[in-house]
Amino acid sequence: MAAVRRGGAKIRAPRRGLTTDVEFTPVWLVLENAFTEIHTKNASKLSFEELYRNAYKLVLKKKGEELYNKVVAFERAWLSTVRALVVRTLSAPLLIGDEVIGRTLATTNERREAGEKFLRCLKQAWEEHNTCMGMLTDVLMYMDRVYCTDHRKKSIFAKSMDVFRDEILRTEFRQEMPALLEVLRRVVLDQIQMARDGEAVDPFAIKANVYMLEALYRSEQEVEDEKLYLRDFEAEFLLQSREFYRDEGERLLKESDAGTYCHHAKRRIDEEGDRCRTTLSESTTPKIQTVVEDELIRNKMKGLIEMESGVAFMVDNDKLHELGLVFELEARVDPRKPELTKAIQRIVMEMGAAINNAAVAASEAAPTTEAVAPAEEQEEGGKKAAPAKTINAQTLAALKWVAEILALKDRFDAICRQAFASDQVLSTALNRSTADVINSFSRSSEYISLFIDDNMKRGIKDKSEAEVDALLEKSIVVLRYVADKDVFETYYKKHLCKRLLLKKSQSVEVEKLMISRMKVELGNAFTGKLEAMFKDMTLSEELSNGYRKHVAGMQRDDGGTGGGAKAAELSIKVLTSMTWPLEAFRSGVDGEGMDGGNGKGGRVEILLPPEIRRVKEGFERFYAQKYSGRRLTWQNNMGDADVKARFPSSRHAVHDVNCSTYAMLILLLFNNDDAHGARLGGREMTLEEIEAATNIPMDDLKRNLQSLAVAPKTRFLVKEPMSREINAGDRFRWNEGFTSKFMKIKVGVVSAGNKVEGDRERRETEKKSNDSRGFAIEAAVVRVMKQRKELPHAQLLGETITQLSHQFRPDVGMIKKKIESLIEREYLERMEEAAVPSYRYLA
Amino acid sequence: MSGPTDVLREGFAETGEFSDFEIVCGPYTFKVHKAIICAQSKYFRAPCSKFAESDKRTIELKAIGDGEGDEACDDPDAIKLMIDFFYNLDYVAEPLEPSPVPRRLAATSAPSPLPPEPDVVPSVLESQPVEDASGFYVPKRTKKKGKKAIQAGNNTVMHAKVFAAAVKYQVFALQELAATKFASATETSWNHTKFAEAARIAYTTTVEEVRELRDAVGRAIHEHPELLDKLSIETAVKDNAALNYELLRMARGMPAIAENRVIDEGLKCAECGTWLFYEECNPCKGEYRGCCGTCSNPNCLLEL
Repeated sequence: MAAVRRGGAKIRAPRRGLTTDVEFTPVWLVLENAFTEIHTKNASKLSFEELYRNAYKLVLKKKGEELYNKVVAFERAWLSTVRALVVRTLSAPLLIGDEVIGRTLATTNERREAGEKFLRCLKQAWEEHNTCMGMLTDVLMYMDRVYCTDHRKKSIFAKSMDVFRDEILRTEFRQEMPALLEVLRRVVLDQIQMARDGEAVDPFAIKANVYMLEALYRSEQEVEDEKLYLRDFEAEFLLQSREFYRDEGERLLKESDAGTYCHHAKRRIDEEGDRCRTTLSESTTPKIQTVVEDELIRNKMKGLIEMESGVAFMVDNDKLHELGLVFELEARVDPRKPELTKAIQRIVMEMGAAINNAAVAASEAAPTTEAVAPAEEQEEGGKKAAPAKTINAQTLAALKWVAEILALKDRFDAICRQAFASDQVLSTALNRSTADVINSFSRSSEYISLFIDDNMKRGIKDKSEAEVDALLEKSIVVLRYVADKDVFETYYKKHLCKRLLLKKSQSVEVEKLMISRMKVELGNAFTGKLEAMFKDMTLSEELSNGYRKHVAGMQRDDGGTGGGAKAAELSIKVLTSMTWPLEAFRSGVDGEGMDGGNGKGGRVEILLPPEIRRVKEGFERFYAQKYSGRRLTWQNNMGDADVKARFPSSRHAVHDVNCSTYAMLILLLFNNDDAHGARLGGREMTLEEIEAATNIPMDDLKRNLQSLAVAPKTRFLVKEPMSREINAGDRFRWNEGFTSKFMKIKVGVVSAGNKVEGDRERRETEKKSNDSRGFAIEAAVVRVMKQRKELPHAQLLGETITQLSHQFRPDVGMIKKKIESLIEREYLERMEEAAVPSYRYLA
Repeated sequence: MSGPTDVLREGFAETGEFSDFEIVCGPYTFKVHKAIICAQSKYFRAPCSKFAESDKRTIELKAIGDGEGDEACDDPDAIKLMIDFFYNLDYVAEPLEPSPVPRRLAATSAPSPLPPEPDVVPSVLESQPVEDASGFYVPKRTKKKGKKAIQAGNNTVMHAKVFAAAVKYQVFALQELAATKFASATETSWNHTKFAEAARIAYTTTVEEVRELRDAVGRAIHEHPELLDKLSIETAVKDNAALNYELLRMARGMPAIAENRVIDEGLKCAECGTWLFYEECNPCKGEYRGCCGTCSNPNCLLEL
């Protein structure tokens, strides 16, 4: 091509050339001399006025263009001498240090010194060029303003920069050698590499050269992203850094532990940032940081976390600072911190699973211990082994589980707070994992309720208000995660019921506090029934007091005629039937109806001795006066009684015996002075006779008899034959020789504490809760449909789940069944015409 | 009302107090302040900080007649006005003497193509009785009221000189002001004898790309062709080829300079500026952009 073009364009003798001009040459010589002086730093001798005037004159005489070209040529010539100076500083270590031959030929130190010498020389050349061109620009100001502007020429300063670039940086100075720009790049990269290896390099020498590269452009057009720095240096620098950090990261992962790695990575990032400030350009900071972050963090995070000394190790050993580093590193590259989040969640899940498994193991081991526990109890039934004191292995497991879950949560909360700067993403992830752990454990609701129960009964004794408060808070914390709040409610009601009725609770105040906290946390609907239970308790108290007064009043009226002085006192609790989970007291007896069910289940009424019956009827009359239209159902199995008993051989004349209502009835049969005893013909009765005389259900009867005739400390009766089990045909009589050093004796009844449910109980609870869930689902579906009238299936499911989510996690299958059932009962109908399966509400 | 310029003028310009630099031109020595002059003129920054002048704290601006070839030197009075401008943001040129009564060379009885010249007052001014009867402004400083009225006077010569100094010393505000004053003075005083001198100065002290004065002169001669009868104008036009050319263009109804100049001389060397003879490129028929081949341009396309 070049040849063709050469042939095509003939150059003729120039018509207006640079022939010596009488006007131009003398003036130019003055200027040229002055420029030489300026470049050799003798400017202070020169008269600015004269130079400016001369340059002005040339431009005025239309010699602007010639002047401009002359100046450029002058600079070109000058800079080529400067180039020679710079090239002279290129010493052997730099020249042999290229990639082909390898860097090993010269020691680092030699290379560093040679490099610095070169950089300083180039820096000086650049700075002098700038200074001189500044002065030339002053002198040639008129030319710049008038000639360059009007002829669209670059200012002489900008032009001289191009000349500098071409003459100094781009001109090949020796055969087979790269131009100085390439040398400069290699030297700077080498120096940076040395700095990374810990050598002390001169940042100013490099920085000055970077300034130079930033001021020069690749082409005549000064396009911002065509800067030499960006195009000829930065890209190479980033590439080299990426390789370096990729290797370093891999090496570190192999050689050191995670903590060291984090420290190192953080240091490297800071270092590179500092390097950009002091040595390179600020504009590179984000780019090089991305490179380091990519190579040391983003691509290595997974490996780092999964290292032997990774996150799991740090958590195990409470290395909060290092966890903080990991967090900081990953936060740098991704605000969502996916790897760390995943790792932490996995650890929480593992630890949680361990806790859950331990609890399951404990509860599976429980049947054996449970089997032993009652046996022991029975053996030493006579001792006052109060059930409340016997801590069942299951209960222990429950307490342990809650404590461990709390500890787990506390631990990770602390990590999150101290190491993860309470990061939103991580704390959300932690919460979700904690919730998963708690909800993946089928007995969580029950265990939490048990935990509260245990604390209410024993835990809060001798504790300060603040401690109690902390305890309540803990319970709420765990409770917050439970998805099936309805199940928890069932358990809590049951446990609360027992605490209230059996007066096991340490403090009603604390109970109420707990309820109010739940109210804040779970809403009114949740605590409504629990509050109703407390209300019943208060009302019952008033009722009992009222009745006592009423009785006292009657006695005064009677004037003691009817032997009323001996009337037993009555403390009564009237419970609203739907509120109280009374089945909790059924002790798991199959098919056992509530006794005193007024013949509903075909059961006969408990036979009460007359003095007791009188009290009962008296109260019924009193109650009917107060509240008409209400019917009382007596729960004799839940009552207890204080009885005074006399044993001839005992140390005390009279013993105060506290026992269950049933035990009282049994004891009354053997009352010496009593008409019943006489009527029943003496002091010996068989099991069947007792049953006939009292109508106590056989199961309760047996248990009470066990307490009265087997347990050594409360053996008021003697059983024939003497054995642990109560069998048909066993005979009982009064134990005349009973003796005890205590005046007050409490008769325990086997199994009354709140224990973890047995399997059968659990199935029942589940069934019940499923039933109640069924109702809740139906109600929710109807509510939704009533509002929407028509709704596609998927949307109905969604809305129903949302509505119920604060109570429990509804099972989709169950919702479908309930929808079917609602359709059968004609609450809803399928919309045949709809494109997607939809329902219509039938009013 | 004392604005910052009043304070400057009254405080420092008149007394030379706190002066840290001197400007010498012809008979004058001005005690000035670097901060003021460098703010107005980029020119003075260099001598205030570098070169021999900064050591001596003095710059001598060569005056016409100092023996340095006059075209690049300054009129001391124009420099004085420039320095007045630095401190006052305005300047007042001394009014010119009235024109001498012209003599007619052609003593014919034919009616003169020139309008009968009024005694002293230019005809344009007759319709403006506001003007002083003599046709001159009595230079007096008016208080600034809203938009400042331009006090141009009739001294086109001095305005042209001030303009040249403003361009040379890169005082852009003064350049604008002097150009306005020159144009305004030309409108009223084109008929003054000194106008020819002003036209000469306008065409010799600035390059052709600086249009302000040249346009005003060209317009005046174009609008008042009778001026061409004047000997002074004839001499001035004949002496200046550029003025000649521009008047020719205007007479042909063309703008004074071409908007799109056709470059028909060939092409310039990209590096050294040597003209190359234009010849169409054989293979591509396109314009050829080349190099003289004798310069050191590394991008040179021709390797002769």
